[in-house]
Parts: sequence; structure tokens; C-alpha cells
Amino acid sequence: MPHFEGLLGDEPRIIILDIGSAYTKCGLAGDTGPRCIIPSETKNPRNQQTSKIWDYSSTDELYEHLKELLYTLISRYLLVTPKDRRVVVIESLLCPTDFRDTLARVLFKHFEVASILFAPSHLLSLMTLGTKTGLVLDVGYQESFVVPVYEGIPILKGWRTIPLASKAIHSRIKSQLLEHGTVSTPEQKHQPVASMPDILTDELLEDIKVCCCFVTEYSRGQQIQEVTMRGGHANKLPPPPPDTDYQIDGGSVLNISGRIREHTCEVLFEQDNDETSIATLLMDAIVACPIDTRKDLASNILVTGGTSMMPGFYHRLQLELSHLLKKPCYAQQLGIKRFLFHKAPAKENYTAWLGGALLGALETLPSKSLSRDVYLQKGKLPDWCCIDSDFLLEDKNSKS
Amino acid sequence: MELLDEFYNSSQYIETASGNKVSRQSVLCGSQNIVINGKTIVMTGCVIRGDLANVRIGRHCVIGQNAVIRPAFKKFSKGVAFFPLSIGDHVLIEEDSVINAAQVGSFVHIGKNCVIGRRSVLKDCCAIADNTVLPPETIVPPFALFSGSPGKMVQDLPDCTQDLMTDITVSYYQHFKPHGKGK
Amino acid sequence: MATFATVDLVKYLCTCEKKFPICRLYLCKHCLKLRCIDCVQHEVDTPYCPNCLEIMPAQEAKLKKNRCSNCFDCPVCGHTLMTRASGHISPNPEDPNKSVTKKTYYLACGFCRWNTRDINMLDQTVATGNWPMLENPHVKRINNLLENYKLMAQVEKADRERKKYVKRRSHLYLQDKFNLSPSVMKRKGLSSFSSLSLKEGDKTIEDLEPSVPVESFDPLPNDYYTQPAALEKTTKLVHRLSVPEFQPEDVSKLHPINKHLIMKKSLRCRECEHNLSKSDFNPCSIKFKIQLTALHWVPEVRIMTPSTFTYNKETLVTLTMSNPSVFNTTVTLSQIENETDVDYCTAKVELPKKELVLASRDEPSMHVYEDSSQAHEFKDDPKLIVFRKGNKIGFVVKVTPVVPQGDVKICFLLKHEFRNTTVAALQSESKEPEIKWLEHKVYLCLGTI
Repeated sequence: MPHFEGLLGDEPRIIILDIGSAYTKCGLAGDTGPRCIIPSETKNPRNQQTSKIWDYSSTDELYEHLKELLYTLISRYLLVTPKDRRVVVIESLLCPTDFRDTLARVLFKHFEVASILFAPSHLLSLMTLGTKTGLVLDVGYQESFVVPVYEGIPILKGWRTIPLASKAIHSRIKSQLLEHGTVSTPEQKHQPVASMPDILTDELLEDIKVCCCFVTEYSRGQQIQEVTMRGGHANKLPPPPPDTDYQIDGGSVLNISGRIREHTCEVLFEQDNDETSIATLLMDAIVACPIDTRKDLASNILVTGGTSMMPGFYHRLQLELSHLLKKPCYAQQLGIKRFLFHKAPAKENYTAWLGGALLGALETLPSKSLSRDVYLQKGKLPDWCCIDSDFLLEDKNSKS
Repeated sequence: MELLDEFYNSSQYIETASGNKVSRQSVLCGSQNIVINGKTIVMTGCVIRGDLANVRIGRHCVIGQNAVIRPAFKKFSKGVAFFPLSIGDHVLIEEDSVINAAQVGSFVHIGKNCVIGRRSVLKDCCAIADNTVLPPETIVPPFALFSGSPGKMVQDLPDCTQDLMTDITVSYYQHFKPHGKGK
Repeated sequence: MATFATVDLVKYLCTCEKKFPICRLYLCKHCLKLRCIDCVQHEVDTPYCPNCLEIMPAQEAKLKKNRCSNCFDCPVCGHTLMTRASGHISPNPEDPNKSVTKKTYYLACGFCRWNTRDINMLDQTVATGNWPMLENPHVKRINNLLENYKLMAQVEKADRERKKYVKRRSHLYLQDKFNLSPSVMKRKGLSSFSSLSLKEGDKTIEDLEPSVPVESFDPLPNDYYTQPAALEKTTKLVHRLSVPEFQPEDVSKLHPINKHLIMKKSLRCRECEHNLSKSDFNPCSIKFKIQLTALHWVPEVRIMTPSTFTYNKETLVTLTMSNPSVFNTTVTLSQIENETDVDYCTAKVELPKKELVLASRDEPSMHVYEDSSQAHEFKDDPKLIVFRKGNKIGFVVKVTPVVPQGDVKICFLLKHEFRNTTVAALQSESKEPEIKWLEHKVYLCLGTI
């Protein structure tokens, strides 16, 4: 029974929570993997509509959705009593303040947890490697975000972000299918997809991305970009891979042409008018850092985030970086010759979670977390971006 | 909202001594093997296959139109044997469902157009949503709502399910009144 | 049928200002207030497997990560796997002339027809307990990291204790290195992560090998460019995410998943910490040790028949009320003053001015449907009380919609007598149980104009 847990000398294990834009990873500290990875959305039982957590119009709506999502996680996947438990919430450095505040409110006021620690995801990812220096790139759903970390401290002026990630890939697939794609229904063969755009749901696009698409290699990628972006002649394209037939509910078959399979991920590496892509993101981050740190950062790159699990991603990224080094704007500023990548002991889509699990198992956690009493007293959260004298004064008093 | 009176043509239904109201247009095979405990309504078009094995239905059940209640079988090395099917009290089975279960508990609500796979066991106080397909040998625990194809647990039912089911089945029986003779 | 679909028409106001139908509310007997599922604490009682309905003790559930050891789910469709036997005829090792039928078992799904032979898993000779489990290849490395960090954390904790008695060193060196102000250094988040580092000269900590980076990666195999995507062989995202630690891309690597346990919950009032609902230990049983649902204590109001409404015309609406208690209960209805929810004031309602008396709930006579009216016992006004049957009465209210279009919604205050019978049972039987009056706000949606 829950009350006797403490008497048996077994500390109740800490909940580790990572609410991403697309997926939520949740589990207990000390585990080697999360208990569940579920989409960050709630389903309205009345009209069966799913609403994404991060698409909220007001904090009240967010409060209700977070409450439902957390309730599902706690009662169906974790099977724990939330009261008086410690929680570690893994968040991105760019997490909006009202999201953090609402989440803290739900956890403290509704579920009555004992304490929360908001931990930055990039630092935690490095914990899984056993190093304290690294350039952490998180390729998620909304955006790709890179933060350089040196000696355990994030170099704040070096962070860079770009909205090229899963969402961009999905919209590229959708636009290409609407332009060129065909659907064969039992009644009629080879109808254009544009005549029935409703079949292109988010789940379908995600599935197409996961099952059919891949990141092509550098030289082919350059040829493709030559044609698509700079208007080269179409027959300069490398021969595409064969088409695939994708079954949809209701017996219809969606034809995924080989071009879609190969070309969609180019959106991550195309350097459009701003000449920015995921690769330049890393280069700009390194350039922004102090000179002595650059070599260490370039030799310790860690890539996390679900989108980086696509086949061919690492190979392409590595070649892009080495080609970018030859560009005059970077060659003059950087003295580095090579890039080295780490591989975390976890799949990329839960690396940050694993870091949180390692942190949550430590004894020093209570001293770093925000306890319920302090929160109810102060009514606000400490944040890296606000210099709040309240929290500093408290520190001073406790230490002197 | 209270239930409205539902009228039936009194010549269409047989009312037994124990208060069962069985439609003449239902098909009851092997009626000597079918035991209906009392105050149950069996609507038109139902098929109850008592010829395969014993079927026992509890009190205050409501079996909707065109439902099929058929005991499940098990293949042995020496042939095939049919399990007796027992349905508990206060069970509401809606239209067009096919019940091949091995056992259905009490206070169960089965929606429209469901298919309950063979040898399934539905415990007391559970519910199956409309259009669910339960694969064979599914066990449905108490206070679970199953939905989808294959049926998976989606929700928990409230604690007072027992009272709600009792109330609805009893009042359904009370409001099921004969027209009187003629149309 | 009708009742299930229309259960939301009549709602009661909970103490947290949200409206719920009465079947979803609980009545806390000690605070005498209605509670909804948001106002209660949920506690985990006993985890059990939804398939074999076996209770797993909480300690064991923790070790096994809340998964049943005997039941498996199909990795493709999620349905429970069945153990099937197949006989092998093989020659008996002792006597080559006779042949022996050995039974081997494999797991198969009854819905999508997947079975363990698809992934080339060997059939087992024992029906349960011997199925091979997948091991996460990184477990060793993660445990190594964890041990090292725990050591570091211990050192840091000891350091912190020491610092309380020793004067603080200045943070000048860090300030110079990173150009951070001292106020920033003192902030909780930043300084503590940096101290999770190896201190030189500290021999008690094992060497934590940092992970080794690689320079180049293999390019994609040529099959990607020459072959169409083998969709039958690749797993979908939903299959991969159901096993987060492995996430196989190939269908041949899917493994049966241990079934996840579900749990019985008990509910507790947040204010007085008394239990509101506690179910029986046995998962198969539907009985409750403690069940304080509002249905058993508060009279339930229902709409008798749907009626048609016209703007500004008075309509007679029949409502029914049933008494859940074993005593005769008196009920009064009154208007709500200063109603804040404008949505529910779309009609004016004239409520009965007199008190209504409801008969007690008598289980055996509930199922006897004699139409004998008990009006003579209670001297009912035939214009007000339409019928009386057992513990239920039907009464009339006059409703006048004040809006030309839309839903007709009314609200009123329901006051009723409440006798805490369990407390009375403890006291001597001759004493009358104490009568308290409870009031609840009721909101009804009667229909549309």
C-alpha cells in the first residue's frame, strides 16, 4: 500500500517528464529507458477530437490539457501516486514562461507533488556521455536547436535555432503530394491527391516520413538542390529510387514517387536565401563561442531528437559540415579541421530523458529542486532568464 | 431523463410466467437448453443458439434487435466441444451485436454492432462501446470500457456503474408495455 | 440507451465550481460537500494484470516495471497473445522404433495472425515462464554512469555540509573564466551542474570513461536508391514507440511485449483526508469497501419527458425526483440568488412553494410495479405532484423561456434532509439520527426552442 513504501526503506522513485512538441517521454528515475513515449495530445471523449498540448490559445485551456495528459501518464503508464513525489521536468531553454508556470501550477496545486526541478535538456543529454563539454543539437518537431556547453555551463551567447525539423519535413511532403501525388481508389485509378486533400492527415504524413523517406547523400543532394532551388534543368536530377505504393484505410493506395522519398529531407539542408540550414547552425554556434572552446566543441558533437533518427542523417550532416569548413566565411574564422560525433547510450528521441533519469537518481536532487512550500509561498518559478532577487536572498541566508 | 414508454404489439411477444418477454420473431434454437431467469426482454430478430450448448441468461436483461448469442467452441484433439454461455443479471445488449463469449458477467453494457470474439470473458460492470471488435479470448476486467478494433481499454467506468445499469434495465422493463390488441 | 445519452442534462455544482452529472460526484460525509474527480486525490491501490487478473504486490510491480510476467501483447496490433501448442513427432532417443510426440509452445495473436515463429523465435517446451526477453545493450554503460554520478553526488553533498562551517571561497576564478557576475553564480541551477565534474586528485571516484566520439559514418546502403521501400518489412512509428528502448525498424525484430498492469484506485477527499471510494482487494469483484457516491445520498432530479417550448409562453415541465435514503426525506426547492452562470438563466421557472416529501427507498418493493398510488398517505396536491411510486415523485414546474432561440436551461437550489445513517448505527438505536440540511445547486437543460 502506498503508505508503507517509506517504512520499508525504499525511497519512492522520482518521476522524469519530458513534454516535447510532438511526443512526451515519461518514466521513473534510475531506469534505462522511459516507460512510454506517447504523442503530446489529449483526446476529447465527447467528439473524439485530439488537440495538441502545444497548440493552446489560453493558459486555462493548457491547464486542462496538461491535467488530462499528466493524469493519463500517471494512472495508466507509471501507476504511481503523485502526491509527495519529486518530479524532474526536462525542458528546452526556449520554453515559454506561461507553459512552465502552468505546468508547475498543475503539478503543485492539482497533483500535490513534493518538488519540481526544471532541467535544461541540452545539459542533461551530455550527462549521458560522461563528458562536460559538447555541442548539443536537438532536432525535434518544431525546430532544431543547438546549445554549446563547456565545462558543464551552457554558453548562452552561442545558442542558435532554426525552424527546420519534422514539421518542415511534413509540410514539404504534403506540398509535394498535393502537386504531383496520385491516389488509386478501388473506383478510379490515379486520381490526383489534390482532389481529396483530407486523406493527408498528420499521422499519415508522419508515417510516410518514417517508413519511406531518407536523407540522401551529399553529392546527390547537391544535384537535387541545383535543380529544385536554382532552377536547373530537370534531367540533371540523379535517377530517383523506385516508387512505392502506400496503403491507406479504405483500400486506397497512395503512390509515393521516388522523388518524394529522396527530396523531402533536403529541406533540412537547403540553404535558402538566408543561407541557413542545420549544418550552418552548428558552424554559427561554434563561431559565436570563445576561441579556446572551439576545438573542444567541434570534437564533441552530440545529436539528439527524433528527426535525427532518419536513415542517412549523420553521414549527410558530417559531410555538410566538412564542406562548409571550406567556405571562405568559416575557413577564415575557424581553425578546426575535423568534427567528431558522440553516440549516446540511448536512442536519440529519448537521450534528454535518459539524462534526466540519471540526474533524478542522485541524492543531491532535493537540494536543487523547488519544493512545494517555497512555491506556494513565492508563487513563481526561478528561471534562467530572470534575475530575481528573491531567490538570491534566500540562498544567501541559507549559506551564511 | 426518464425513459419513454416503448410499446410493442402484444401478439408479437410471449410473456412467460416469470415475466420474460420474448418476441415471436426471435429464433431460439434448442429452447430446452435456454434458461432465462426472469423479467428479461428478447427483442425481434434475435438468435439464441441453445442447440450448441446451454445458455443461461440472468434477470432484467435486455437483448436488442438482431443480436446473435452463440456459445463458443474449443477444438480438442478429439473433436470440438461447445462451452456453455452464461450471461449475468442486468445486462444490456444493443442491436446487431454478435456475442460468442464464454462468459458475460452482470451489469454489462454491450453497444451496437459489436463482435465479441469466441471464448472471451467479460467480467461484471464493464462496457463495450459501439462497433467494437473484440478478438478471440479477450478478457475484459471490471470497470473497463473497451473500444476499437481490436478492442483495447480506453477508459475507466465510474464507480456507480452498478446502480446505473440496474436502473436502466429495470426501468426499460417497466416501460416496455403492450399496445393492447390490434395494431 | 436513453438514460446513458442524456445523463448530462441534469448537473449538480461541485465545490470546485464545475458542473457534473450526479453519477460522477461523491459526497464527503465529514465535510458534507460534493466532490468531483478533480477535487479528490487519487491513490494507487493494487496493480493487477488485466488479462490474468492476478494481483501483483507493489514491490514486485516495481521490479518488473509494472509488466505482467505471464501475459504478452502482440507487437503489431496490441491484442493479448495466446499460447498455442504444436506437436512434434520425433524418434525416441532410447528406442529408435517408437516415436514420441513432444509438445512445443509458441505465442500467436488471434487478431492479426502474427506469431513468434515470424521472428524466428524458438518454440518453448514449457508453456509459461521461459520466453526470452530482450536486453537493452546499453544497460551496462548506463549503470556505470549512474554509479559514478552517485559517487560524485555523495562527494558534493559532503562538500556542501562542510561549506556550512567553512568560509566560502570567492568565485573570482569562475567569474574571470566565463565573465559571469557573482549573483548569477549563486543561482541554484548553474553552479550545481558545474560541480558534477571530476575533481583532480580525488582518488575515491572511479575513472569515468567519457564516451568515444567517431569521425565518420557509413553512407546509406545502395538498396535505398535502387529498391522501393519495403513497407511490409518496416515497422510503423507506433510499433517502435511501444518499446522505447529498442525501437526496431524491421518487422522481423518485433518481440512480444509484456502486458502492462492496470491498477485499482482509491479516492480521498483533499480537505478532510477521508476516503471517498475504496474498492475491494480482489480485481474480479465489483464490491466496494467504502463507496460514498452522491447517488446514494443526494436526491436525484430527472426530466420526465421532453417538452416543446415557445418564446415567452409558460410550459409545464414534469420533473422526477428519487430519494436514495432509507428514511422519508423532505425536500425544498428555491431560486438561486445572484446566479453567475448566465448560460443557465435562459428561462424563468416557477418552483413549487411547498415542501415535497419523498418516501423512503425500500429495496424489495422497488421491483413490484403495482400502480397503486400512495398519494393518500402523503396528501399530495394533484396539480403539483403528478405521480408517486415508491421513492420517486413526479412534480410540475412552470417554465417560461426568456430568449427567443437556443437552449432552455434552468437552475435552482435543492435543499434536502441528510441523515448520516452509518454514524447512527454506531450510536444507540433508540436515538433519532441527526438531521442536517444540505443544499445543492442543480442545473438542467430542458430542450431547445
